[in-house]
Amino acid sequence: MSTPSPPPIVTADEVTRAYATARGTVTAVHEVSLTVTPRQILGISGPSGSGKSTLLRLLAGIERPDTGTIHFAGQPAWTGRSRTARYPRPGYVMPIFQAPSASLNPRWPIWRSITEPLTAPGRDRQHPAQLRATAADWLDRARLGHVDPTIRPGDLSGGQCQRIAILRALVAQPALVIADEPTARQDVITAAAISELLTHAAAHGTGLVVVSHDTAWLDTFAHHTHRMTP
Amino acid sequence: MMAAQLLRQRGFLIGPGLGLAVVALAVLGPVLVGVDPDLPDYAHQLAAPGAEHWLGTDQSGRDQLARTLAGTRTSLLAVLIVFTLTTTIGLVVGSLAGYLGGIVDAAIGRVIDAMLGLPSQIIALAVVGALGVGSTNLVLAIVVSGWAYPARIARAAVLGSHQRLDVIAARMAGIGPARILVGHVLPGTLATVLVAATTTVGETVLTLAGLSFLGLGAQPPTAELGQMLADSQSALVSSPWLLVGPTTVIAATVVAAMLVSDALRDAIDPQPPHRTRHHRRSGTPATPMPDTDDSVAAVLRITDLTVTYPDGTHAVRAVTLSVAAGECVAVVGESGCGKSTLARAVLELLPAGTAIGGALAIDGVDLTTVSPPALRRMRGRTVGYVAQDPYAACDPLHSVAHHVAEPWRNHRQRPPRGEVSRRVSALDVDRAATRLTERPHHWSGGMLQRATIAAAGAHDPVLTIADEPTSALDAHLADDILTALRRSCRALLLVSHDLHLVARHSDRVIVMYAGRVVETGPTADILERPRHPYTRALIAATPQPGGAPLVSLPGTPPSLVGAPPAGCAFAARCADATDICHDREPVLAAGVACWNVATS
Repeated sequence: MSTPSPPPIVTADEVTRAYATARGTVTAVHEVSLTVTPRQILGISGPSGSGKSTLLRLLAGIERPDTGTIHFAGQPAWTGRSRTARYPRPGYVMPIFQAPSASLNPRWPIWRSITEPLTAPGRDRQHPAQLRATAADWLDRARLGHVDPTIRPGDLSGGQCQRIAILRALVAQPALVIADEPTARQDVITAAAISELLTHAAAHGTGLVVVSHDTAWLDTFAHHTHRMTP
Repeated sequence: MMAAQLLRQRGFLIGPGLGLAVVALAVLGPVLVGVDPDLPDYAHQLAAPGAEHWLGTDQSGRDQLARTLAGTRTSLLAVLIVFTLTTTIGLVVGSLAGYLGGIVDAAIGRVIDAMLGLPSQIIALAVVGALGVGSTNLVLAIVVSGWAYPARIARAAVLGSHQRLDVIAARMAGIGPARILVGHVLPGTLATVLVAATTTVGETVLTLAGLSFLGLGAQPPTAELGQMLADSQSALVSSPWLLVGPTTVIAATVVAAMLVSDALRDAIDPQPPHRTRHHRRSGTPATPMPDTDDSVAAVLRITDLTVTYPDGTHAVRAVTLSVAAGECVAVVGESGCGKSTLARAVLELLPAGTAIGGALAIDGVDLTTVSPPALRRMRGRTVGYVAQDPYAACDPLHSVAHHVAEPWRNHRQRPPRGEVSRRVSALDVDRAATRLTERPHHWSGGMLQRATIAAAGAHDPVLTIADEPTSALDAHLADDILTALRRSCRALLLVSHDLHLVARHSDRVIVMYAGRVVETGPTADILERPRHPYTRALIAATPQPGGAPLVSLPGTPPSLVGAPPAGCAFAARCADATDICHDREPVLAAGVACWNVATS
């Protein structure tokens, strides 16, 4: 390299992941290489069963690849026989899942879910009142200022829950956000609000990988879409 | 919130009522009666019930009522100790196994399996055999056999939490395992285990009574219900009243325990109510259908429909619409606008306690006048239904053919030979005859939705209702599915949030917002010349080929709980709202409900 540039947020090098099933081994991801840099929005699309979600889990460090390597900020994610990935810092990668109601703790008021990443070890300890104020502030920024931070997910619609889950991911100030079908079963108004939130995060330096089978929606905001085939 | 849910359960009111009565008997009874249950009175052996001895006396002349109350106290105390010990031990052992995993979990898991594999009464017998008889040893014996069930529930809950999405998110945010366990995993596990443990209380009562009956528990002269039954055996023919006290208390305790545990389970894991026809009908009952010009061909006519859920949500407000024979009418709007409620109202599938006003008629039959059995016959015959998620609609344990044949079975018929595979292949499913023998999970979502469409059309209903039939499927399949759906049914009420999708398949569009119709008209007009600002926002938020950035609408729809908003429900999110929009609700005129359109 001629000019010293910061290493990509995540680099996948020839990663492969196979699962043993009743019908034999199924290779979900076969020798995929890609990188995600700050501010980049990478879309991943393809039919059901093409390995989109598996690739996402590999990029997020939730699953370990069978072969190939994952690097976060130039450092290997998996060393030795470790069962958990090593991130450069807590909240380096944050997830957004397909099922918004399942991704929030149903017993917690939403302010607690939104600000949970701020309570990780190594961050400044904050009083619950401060955390509640922070949550209200983030809700406001997501144009959800009218939502009471003390209610529980059960009292919210699926679309609202999904936006709360996105706020939780962004509060951690992650280098990378991975989103697995974030608009599945959401209406178009919610989908538009979700892409707006994601685009805003990318503009502030976060790298994004978004899996969706809705290519029309992906094309409205992704910089590049990686198509997977079964 | 939980208390309110509990109070709504009718069973929960009977259950604790009965349970409290039994507990009160055990705690207060002996004090109130004031007779020594162990005091023999050989002058009045086996006296019949009367003013002095309400339940008679036993062979030693002891007051049977006093003995029953004392026995209830003994038994309930034992049950309480068993419940506390089994739940605590099960929770600790099971959570540890699930949390530590690896060898510890494998070892504990095997022990739990072995314990659950043996009949609990046999284990208890063996323990009492080893320790000797007596009430303490009996309680110990039942604890030894009883901890495994709550332990298994706790282990499964903790093990499963590793895959829970909120736990994964917390882990990625850097939260440590101990805090995840305390914050995310244990509260839910505790609730699950407690509910599971209450289901075994009835069994514990019976096991205790049964083993005491065999003489393994409390020893004479201590009164115990099972032991009292054993004592009464010799005098049963001459003095049957000896049975009344112990059996009544045992039965009441078991029934109370079962009702409470059922209600607790429902409260922790609320399921949508299954009941249908217990709605309060209000408004204008049984008014004759207004005869407008298109009334001859209308297969569905909804007039001034209002739906209010038991929690006070005004989900549908004064909606009037009709679907003509052969027509496809699409109802669009964002989540919570009332479109699914509308579909469920037509299917008469709203939860119990829902207040419904206005009139609904299918094929000329006023649904308010139809009896529940006749309504069941109408389902499937007159109205077909295609659900959102085909995998959820099919029973995973049966073949796809089983699901498609269900409409016939529901009416005690069998499909004609080859009919199922003929209908499914007609919807472009290859090798239908062989594939139909497979289970649903072997089918792709698109193909399986075709099968459920075939099932919905089994009796060639005059009206088919499809609620988001493609939103659980890959986007590129949606067009083909809707084409197949449209081809296979006579009249279609299609519920969707995707305007562009319905554009290609519907004749008319009804746009709903906050429970009301805000715009309606022929599909092409609505899409090309939307007049209501909400319709325009819906179109702007729908991705178009070419990928222009989407325009999202600020805010969320208003709450529909309690009094409806005073002005236009959309005013808070509308860029063009004026004073009148905030003050007065616009009425639907010439196909649109907007003050700005009406005045311009």
